[in-house]
Amino acid sequence: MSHRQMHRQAQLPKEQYDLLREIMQVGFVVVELQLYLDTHPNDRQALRLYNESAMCYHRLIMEYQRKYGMLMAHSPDGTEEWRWIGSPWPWEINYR
Amino acid sequence: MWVYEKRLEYPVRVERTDLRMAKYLFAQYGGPDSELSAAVRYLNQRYTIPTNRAKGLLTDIGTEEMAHWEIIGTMIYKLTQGAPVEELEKAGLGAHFVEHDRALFPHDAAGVPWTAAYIQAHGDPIADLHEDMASEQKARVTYEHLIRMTDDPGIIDTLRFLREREVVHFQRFGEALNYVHEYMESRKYY
Ligand SMILES: [Fe+2]
Repeated sequence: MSHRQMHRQAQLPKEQYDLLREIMQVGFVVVELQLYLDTHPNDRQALRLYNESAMCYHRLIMEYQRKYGMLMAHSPDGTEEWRWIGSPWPWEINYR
Repeated sequence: MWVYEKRLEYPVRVERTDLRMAKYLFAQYGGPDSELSAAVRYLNQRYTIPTNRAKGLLTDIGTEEMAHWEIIGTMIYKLTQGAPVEELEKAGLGAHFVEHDRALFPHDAAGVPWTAAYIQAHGDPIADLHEDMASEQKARVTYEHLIRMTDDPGIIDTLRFLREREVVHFQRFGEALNYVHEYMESRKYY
């Protein structure tokens, strides 16, 4: 197989891509707040924000996984096929 | 343990194949101040650091650095895949091709392979956290140098994100260091 054939770049449908971008954005807020809380464990307002963002994040992940298959390893996938290896890998997605 | 999320932390928009830039980006894939060094340094230091704040921070920042390593890998992959051998050679990646084809490999911008000699762990929280803060500054300035080497707006956008993360990590490590100082003072007197 030639290199050009092995080199895959997938264009996700707009709706799927938009949801993925939203997950990336909310996921970033969760990461940032987690680091902040490690050194400010008594900041109640940050903790409240963290809980809200983490809840939102998991809602979005569930929605994505219901529609397009697993995004997070070890999640249940209710369909008949193993969709984990069917979706493009992060380095194969054409970001726009 | 870790659980893989099949997504990047931040998108990688690449306008065109740019082998010259790909070669430079290896600095952050397998160089001294690379994301790989950062991840291994923090995830290795955390076992013996005394405070829970620092244990949490080393675990969480170390994990984020692995996501950054994946972002750099994605950039290099997108910038090099499908490039003809002659072009790779012209861009200074001929030696890389001979040893690795178009596979990624943790070496620096000049092709020097990654080594654990880039990192340290002293088992002393003051020394370790100072090393971590220094490494964040070194990574920040490497990103600034990389940003100067390209005019691709997509690459610049992702590099700016990564640069900003180093600034935040530096800040958090500084806070953890202050707390370690307090902790050690309190142990002296009680
Ligand atoms: Fe960092």
